[in-house]
Amino acid sequence: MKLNHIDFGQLLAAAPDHFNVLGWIVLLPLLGAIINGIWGRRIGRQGVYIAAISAVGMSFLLSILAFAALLKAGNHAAAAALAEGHHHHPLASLSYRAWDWFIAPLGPSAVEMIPVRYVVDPLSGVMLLVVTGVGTLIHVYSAGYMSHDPGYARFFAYLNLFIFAMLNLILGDSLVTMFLGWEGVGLASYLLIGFWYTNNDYATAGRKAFIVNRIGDAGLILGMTILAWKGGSYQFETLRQHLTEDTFINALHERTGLGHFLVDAIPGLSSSASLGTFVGDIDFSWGGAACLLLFIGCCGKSAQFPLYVWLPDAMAGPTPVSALIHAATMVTAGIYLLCRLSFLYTHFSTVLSIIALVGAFTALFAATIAVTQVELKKVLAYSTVSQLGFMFMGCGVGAFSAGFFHVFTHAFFKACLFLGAGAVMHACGDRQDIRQLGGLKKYLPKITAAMGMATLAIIGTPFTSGFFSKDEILFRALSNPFAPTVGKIVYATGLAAATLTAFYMTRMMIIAFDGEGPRYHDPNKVAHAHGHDDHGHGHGDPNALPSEHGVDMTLMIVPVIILAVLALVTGFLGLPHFVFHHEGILPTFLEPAVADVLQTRSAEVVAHVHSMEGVSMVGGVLSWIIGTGAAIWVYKLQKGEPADKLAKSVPGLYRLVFDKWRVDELYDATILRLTRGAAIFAAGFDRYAIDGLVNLTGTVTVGLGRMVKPIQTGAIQVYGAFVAVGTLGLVIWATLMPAVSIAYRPGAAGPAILEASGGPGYTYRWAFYDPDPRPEANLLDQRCPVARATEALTRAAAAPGAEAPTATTQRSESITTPRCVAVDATNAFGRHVLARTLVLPQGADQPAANPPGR
Amino acid sequence: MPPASIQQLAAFSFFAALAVVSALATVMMRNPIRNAVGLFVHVLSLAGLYVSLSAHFLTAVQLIVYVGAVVVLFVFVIMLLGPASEAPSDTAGRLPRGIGAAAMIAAGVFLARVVIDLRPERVANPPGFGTIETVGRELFGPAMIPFEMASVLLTAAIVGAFAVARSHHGKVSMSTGEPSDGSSR
Amino acid sequence: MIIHLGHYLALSCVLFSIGAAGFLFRRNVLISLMSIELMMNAVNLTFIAANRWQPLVTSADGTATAAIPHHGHLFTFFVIAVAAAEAAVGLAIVLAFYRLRKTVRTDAADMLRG
Repeated sequence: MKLNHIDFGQLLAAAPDHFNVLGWIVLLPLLGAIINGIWGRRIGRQGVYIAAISAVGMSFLLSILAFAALLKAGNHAAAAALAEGHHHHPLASLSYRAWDWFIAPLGPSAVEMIPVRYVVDPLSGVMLLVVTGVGTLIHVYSAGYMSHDPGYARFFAYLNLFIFAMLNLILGDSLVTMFLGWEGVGLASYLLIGFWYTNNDYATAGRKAFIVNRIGDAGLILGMTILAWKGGSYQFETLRQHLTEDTFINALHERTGLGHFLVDAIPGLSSSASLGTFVGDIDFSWGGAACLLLFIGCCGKSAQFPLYVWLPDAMAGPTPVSALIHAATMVTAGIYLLCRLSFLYTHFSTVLSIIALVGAFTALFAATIAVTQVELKKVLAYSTVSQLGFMFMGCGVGAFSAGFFHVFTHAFFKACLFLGAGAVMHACGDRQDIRQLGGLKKYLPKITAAMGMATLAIIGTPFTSGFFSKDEILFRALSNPFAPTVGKIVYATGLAAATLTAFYMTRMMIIAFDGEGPRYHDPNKVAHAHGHDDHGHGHGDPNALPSEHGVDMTLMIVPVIILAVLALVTGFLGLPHFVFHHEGILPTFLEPAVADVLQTRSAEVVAHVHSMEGVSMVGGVLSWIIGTGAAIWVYKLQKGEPADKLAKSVPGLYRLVFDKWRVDELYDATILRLTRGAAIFAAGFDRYAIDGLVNLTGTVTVGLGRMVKPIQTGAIQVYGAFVAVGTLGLVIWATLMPAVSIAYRPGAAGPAILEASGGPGYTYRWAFYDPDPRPEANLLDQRCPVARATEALTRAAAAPGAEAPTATTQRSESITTPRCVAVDATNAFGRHVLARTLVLPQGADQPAANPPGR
Repeated sequence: MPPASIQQLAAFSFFAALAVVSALATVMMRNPIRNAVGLFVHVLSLAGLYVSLSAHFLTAVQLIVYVGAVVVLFVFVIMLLGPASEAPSDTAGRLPRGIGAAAMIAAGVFLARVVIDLRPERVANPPGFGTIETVGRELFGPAMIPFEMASVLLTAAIVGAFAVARSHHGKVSMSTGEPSDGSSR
Repeated sequence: MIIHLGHYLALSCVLFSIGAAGFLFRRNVLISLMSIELMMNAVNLTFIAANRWQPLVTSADGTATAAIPHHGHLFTFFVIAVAAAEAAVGLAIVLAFYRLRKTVRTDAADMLRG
């Protein structure tokens, strides 16, 4: 390769911020979105398809290029570090600074230039590959899935827009650019959930997603601003630098007002030993508050309890959207943000424990719901929530790269599952109730095989990707070094959730794919004579048997199979430490970019942590065996009878779980009712108070108009009389009132020009004199009583060597030493009307200009 | 006191007094012809003041345009209107108009008192100041475009004056809805 | 006593106010027009007087010059042109107005009154 002859790393190190490949990676999907959004109807389906796929595909190819360059730069940096005798892994990154965006205030007294700058480092590099890679596959898939939809161009425009926003999110180097992408993906998600907006439920689901995300975003914005204020920057790299400096660390650990109040109000809170060992060190600090608020934002975006409610409803959107946005990429943005800021989070162990507990609870909670669901996409949606909980567990026990590893593997197997489910729906006339399906393995063998592979991964079958990534999280939970109790609770909860995951996924696969044949298919109703040879059927005859023939199905099956293979093998990028005594490839690669609580612990602690891995793995394998075995026993061997019996024996509990623990209903009864009440009050306030005010202004205006109406006589000379009186007033004002300004413009080389200007008829007297020794006498630019200026002028005249006061309207003076000037103005009628004194500091910049004196 | 100053003082005093008196005559006389004569004297006295300010070219323009054209035009119109040009008494509604006029006079006097003290340094006349040659060079040099536009303005004024003053006998006045030769008042 | 710019300006103030007062007080359209001429003449006087006392720019070689020495004169020239045009159109309007209302009283011109 020619590339090897170029010292790539040196080249890139010589020109930082100029790696403009990143700019193209971000820009291409935007171009695709613009083309499809504006000319989508004109260029036809073929054109739309080519524009969209080439945009994302090129972006993916450039991402591979960028990743290769990053590896090169990383090798270069590592070699350079080794040459200097460092053995740590240096952080390599490539960046592209597009332009300076705006100057953001950081706090009361500091500002920072926010550039539009894209950075690829190990963390964003991996994410970049996932987003553009999975994105490309899903674009290909969508061409088949959406082939009959009238909104074809709109769909691809939104999808490209999503990719653009997501790339902003992951490549943006500051919280601000990340936030831009964060909101952009939210917008794209909203547009795509409500893609079939004529269906009211779907549109409502879109709005729900948007609004629930707003709640999280409020926390995100607050967290960002606190972080910028106390941490001194919006930019990740600067923040990382600041976190090594004592001033900023101390500022972040400063206790908040609320913290002071709580500590004062609850005795023993700060020194409570039991609580401390439970969740780690408690400090009610600004940094902790920022971390917690940012986590609330992550909860919204990544569907964690209690803000997860939008994600199951988001399945209203087309299935490729569910796969891309609501499983593989966007919903993992929260974990991505935590990993980005992992250097910050490792300082706040209390917050980490909260994150771990929330994640564990969500994982278990969503898994219980998934057990009872009967729709393919609903099962997968709750499964996604549950898996996201696992990822937060990983971050919460301080193993950010473990959490991110799960993001990585989950992207493949969950995208594969969703796409498979979409293919099933496409083949079976948009049916997704698993009770109506069944026996699909005969008709859809490739999809069944692919989904089976992905299921093996998600349920944690040994040596699949899900097994490795889940194991990494669980063992780090078990061996949590800073909050052991929380760690054990999280571990136990995680095991339970993993068991349930194995159970519900196996259940779904058995019911939908095993058995005699599709239950919806009634042989008596269908005319078998036709309908099988035309491609893309399933939409043609809703009762036809599914098949894998046709262009649409081929376009859909290829991505599914690619993803399934990836789901099986990607786990080998993160092989466990205890077997090979070496960190996996991915964790090693991520290490410089993603912090880990272990990085600051002693070697004994690290050794102890790794010693737990084997124990943890036994639990993981056991949960897999129990969950899968139970599901096979219940649904395969007993044909679902035990489950029915159980449901009948505790009907109340079953209904509760089936209704998703009725969390939505709880929100309806509490938050929504409160909001509605507030809205009714606000409407009344608007109607009577605000409108009343508006009407009042109208009434007042009309009344005033009535009052002044008689003045409008129509006689021009009366109008002229008004003008004349006004002129007289103006003349008197200009003559009798002083209008004087003194400007002191420091010249480039020192001489100053003093100007007094005002209406004609004034006489000015100037006097320059050396500063008065009395400090209060030399106030800068004082308006003073006439008597005082007269006194100053007298004193100036009396001073040895001083010039006498001179009477001119203008004066230029070269001032080399600090001097005072006194000015008094006399109007045309001989009255002293104005006096000012001004101290001219030598060579100083002030005062630049003074307001006119009155 | 140098003789030049005496001459200056005398010329200024004479023409200034004449200008004020003729201006008062212009606005106060009852018979329009007398007003026109007042205006005539006024523009003549101003021409005298222009001479004292070395504005020779403008003195000529003043005499030609004002005395030769504007005042004559006024006299023509007064003759055309005949006795009707003398408007009836001004007593009705005198108060607001009186207030306006008084305010204007007061403002003028006030301002005069203020500006009379302005004494900027007098600079020597550049050679040929105010003569036809120097002013003409500037008129056809830097002021070329406005000069040409002034000719456009005058053409427009001629056309406009013709259009407005043209008689509309036999046509119906648009504003009153009556035949325009019938008196509406 | 030396005649200064201030005297000319004061005179023109007085002349202008006489013209303005006449315009405001008299109800004869012809006299209104003459008053306007008075005001314009007063303004012309200020231009020409100020031009006579104009400050000069000292150039690099020490000679004091003005870039365009007759600014005030030129302006006056154009004011006179405008005044001539105004007189022509104004008197034409007087004739038309007389033909319409058979009077030259300004208070007869109130058709725009609401």
